[in-house]
Amino acid sequence: MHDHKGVARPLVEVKDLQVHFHLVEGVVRAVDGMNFEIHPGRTLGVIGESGSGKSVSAQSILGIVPSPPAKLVGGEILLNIEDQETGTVSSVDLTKLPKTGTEYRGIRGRDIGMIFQEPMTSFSPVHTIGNQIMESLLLHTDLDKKGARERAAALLGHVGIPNPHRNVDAYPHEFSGGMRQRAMIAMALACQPRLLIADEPTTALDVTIEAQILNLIQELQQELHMAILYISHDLAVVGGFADEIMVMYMGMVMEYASADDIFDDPKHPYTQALWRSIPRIDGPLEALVPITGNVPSPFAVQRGCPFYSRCPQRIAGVCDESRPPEVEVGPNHTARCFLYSEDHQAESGGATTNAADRNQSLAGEGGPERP
Amino acid sequence: MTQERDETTATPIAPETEGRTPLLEVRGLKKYFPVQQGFLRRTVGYVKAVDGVSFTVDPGETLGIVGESGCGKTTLGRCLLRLYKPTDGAIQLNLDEGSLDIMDLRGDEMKLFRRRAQIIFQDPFSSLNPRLSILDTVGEPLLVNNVARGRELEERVREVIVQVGLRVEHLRRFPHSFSGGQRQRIGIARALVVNPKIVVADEPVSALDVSIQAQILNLLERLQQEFHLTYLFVSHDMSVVRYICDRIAVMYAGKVVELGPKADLLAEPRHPYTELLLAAVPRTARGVRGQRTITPGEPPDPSNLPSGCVFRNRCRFAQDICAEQEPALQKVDDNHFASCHFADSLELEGIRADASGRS
Repeated sequence: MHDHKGVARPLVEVKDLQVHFHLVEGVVRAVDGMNFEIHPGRTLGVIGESGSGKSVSAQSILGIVPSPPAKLVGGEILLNIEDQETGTVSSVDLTKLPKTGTEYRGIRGRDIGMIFQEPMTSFSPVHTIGNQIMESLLLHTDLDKKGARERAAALLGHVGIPNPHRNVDAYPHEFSGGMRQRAMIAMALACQPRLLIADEPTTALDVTIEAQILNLIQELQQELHMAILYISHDLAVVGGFADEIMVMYMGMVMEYASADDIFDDPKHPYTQALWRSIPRIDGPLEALVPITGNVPSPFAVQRGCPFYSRCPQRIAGVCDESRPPEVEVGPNHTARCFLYSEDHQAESGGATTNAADRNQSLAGEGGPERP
Repeated sequence: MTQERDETTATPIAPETEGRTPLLEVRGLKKYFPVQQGFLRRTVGYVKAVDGVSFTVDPGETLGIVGESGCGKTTLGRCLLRLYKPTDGAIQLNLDEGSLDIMDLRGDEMKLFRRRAQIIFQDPFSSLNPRLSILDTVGEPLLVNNVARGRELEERVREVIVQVGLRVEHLRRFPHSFSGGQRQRIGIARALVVNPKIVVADEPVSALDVSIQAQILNLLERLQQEFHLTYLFVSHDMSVVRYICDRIAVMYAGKVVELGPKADLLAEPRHPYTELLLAAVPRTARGVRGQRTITPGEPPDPSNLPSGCVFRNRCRFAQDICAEQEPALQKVDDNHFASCHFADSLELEGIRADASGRS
């Protein structure tokens, strides 16, 4: 699709990625058949609740999933890096690289930068901010200590930290939450990575600071032409930030579409239900419709759709029997749901009305959540 | 200095209650935490976490207290429950059993107060004792307050457990076997078991998954109607507050900078900080999706507040007078108060709700 001249290959291509956790209680399919690609300069948003596998998928790209218990069962993660001078693209399958080898180490921090959720805990409290930024510069560039320190100070200034030459010697506890997250961004961007993975980078911050940080990331993205994988549970934030959005539930990508389609024309019942349940700053002030029930135990081995037990449009005998297919519901818009699969619609035309009836009765009854 | 501050902020300003007795009256509430230094732990200054806050709460209403972290909203909630002893001010709780002076509770008064004022905590994972079963967790307030014991206690716990949407079979289980949403229900049951009149809910849905938040918000609303509860809903999340509250108090650096009915305050804020806070929340409606305004700066250090108006360093309208004089919380409209020298003249932008709607 992007083979035409002038259109670059995606920077990252993830194909049918499967990561399982082998625990005492059983096997958890943390990432279950994930496909996506990100182009340079674009942002892919990943939305999901806790336990949906959004962080594990990001960690798989960096090769930092704790293993054991995690096991990469299948799939590939291709990193296509174009040489600026020759224009040739070298492609590496990250899943094939030894996780502790020098090659992977050369990619982490240089080609891929990461911003973590907790700016409080992601810095070492016993080293200065400057030393922690210098670490990756010394590892990946030819700079000497003095040069690296200069660069670290320049980076801190670039992300909006006042008095960078003094603050380069500050310890993390001397910074406020917002400043720490800025320093974290400076650290992640020290070597000008091609891919930035941001795992809930603003969850611990106040909205005014969040707006500042996201704006900073976007400015830097334009400057460096980075691809961004942005993970969050906050739909409103992702909607304004990402070009494409991937909605995850229990390890599966339920829906994948442009941000506009996810907001204006969601297809998957889970995405639709999420929309009805979240309070929005400018949404209509009707009662929220919660998603009934709870996220099922990740150990429950399910043959069918993981959302089956909570889905208002579930089709008994179909959705609980086999894994829902990934259906193309529009241009660049896929949903993993039987409602849109042609096979299913052909064989049981009446099922849709059934589902609608059930939807009605569910809304009426609502359980203890919605009296 | 302190003297001046007293004159400007201690004036009790409360919404007009028109003859009705408010449930809670707060006047000039202050909570200063001493900053100690050196071997002798000498006090070198104060963190003014709550600095001269006045408001009233009517029975059955939900007052939202919003602000950024460090603005004093949690401290305020805890002072009202006497989990902290306030430095100064007056708090009065008007119950059917009589009025209680929260600043000076003794003996039986304290026992009554503990039954009528309860709290729901933010984190359902750390606020429950992992070694206590649900029966013990929810029954504990009955025991310590001498309300019930034995079979009577169990009956009462069963009743409240069902009311919050849990099942009686869950009684003997321990917190680890429950999800976040269920644990929050346990926390709510524990607060409600003693029949409180007023409940301080401190970020009760912030730690929950998005799909669970609505369940808990709807549960809180239903319980409020059933038991005629009054909520003080402490939150940083404007979208959540917009759904659940009747009135909103916006706090900044220990002070209430704006207080008013939800619809007025959101649509037509009268304090520049409220505007800033609302503008920072990303919009979701078609056409304006993702729009948010970026304002530089951070809230001031509460141990070293600027002179005059605490917000002036981030305010785009700041004038000389803002550095010299602290603005008092003054009436700008019916039941609507703002502490800004220019509250009457500023044209501030609020939230335009998505009228087109979306099912």
